[in-house]
Amino acid sequence: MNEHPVYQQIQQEIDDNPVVLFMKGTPMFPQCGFSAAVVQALTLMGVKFKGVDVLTDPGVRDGIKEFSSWPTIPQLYVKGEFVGGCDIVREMYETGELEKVFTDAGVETEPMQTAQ
Amino acid sequence: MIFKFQPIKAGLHFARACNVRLAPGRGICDISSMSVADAIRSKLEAAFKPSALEIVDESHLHAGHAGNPGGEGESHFKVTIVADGFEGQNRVARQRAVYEVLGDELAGPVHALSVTARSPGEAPGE
Repeated sequence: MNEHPVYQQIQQEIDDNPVVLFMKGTPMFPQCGFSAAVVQALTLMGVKFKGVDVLTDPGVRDGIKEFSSWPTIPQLYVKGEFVGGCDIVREMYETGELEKVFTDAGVETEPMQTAQ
Repeated sequence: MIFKFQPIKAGLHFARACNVRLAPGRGICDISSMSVADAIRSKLEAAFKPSALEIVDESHLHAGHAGNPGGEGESHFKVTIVADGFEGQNRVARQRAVYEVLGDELAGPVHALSVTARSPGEAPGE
């Protein structure tokens, strides 16, 4: 599986960065509402992450789907582990499980104060 | 929308994709008029025997943007499914199972599919 050059490129990203979001667009300018929702969750939690824009790289766009056995974008990886897509991230954010994922992985979070 | 432009071809393709048997004498019109939402429903019901299943077509919310440029396609869906089979499975495994059953739709007309999958023991809106 790692023989595929795109897989190597993807593996490199998730090896080099503790938190990687494969997304459409950039964290500053998401090009899709689902990607934007995950960016928002990570931002609210104050988690530093690497955004990989699949729209600028068709190889990664297709490759990541096979790599993860997951047919949709966005996809969140924490410490090399696939966490999920938008629905899962949103649910885990709401239940507090996402924070636990980061804590357990030793990733720093700094939740923003929200007026809720 | 493609079904309306090419009812015969699309209908046959759809029938194959859905494993629908063409009923003799009824022609393929019934099949070609089968909506994407109906196809999603029948596949999920067959695969998971869900105790609850809700499919919401949210395509209108995405009219004019990627995946639904004409604003008329069935492209964005939200699925909430409760089934015994999800017991003991984590979120990723559940959603993968749903994606697998709907592979043809995801490869075709469906641009976005939001999935909430639960076992009957889990409180809704947990």
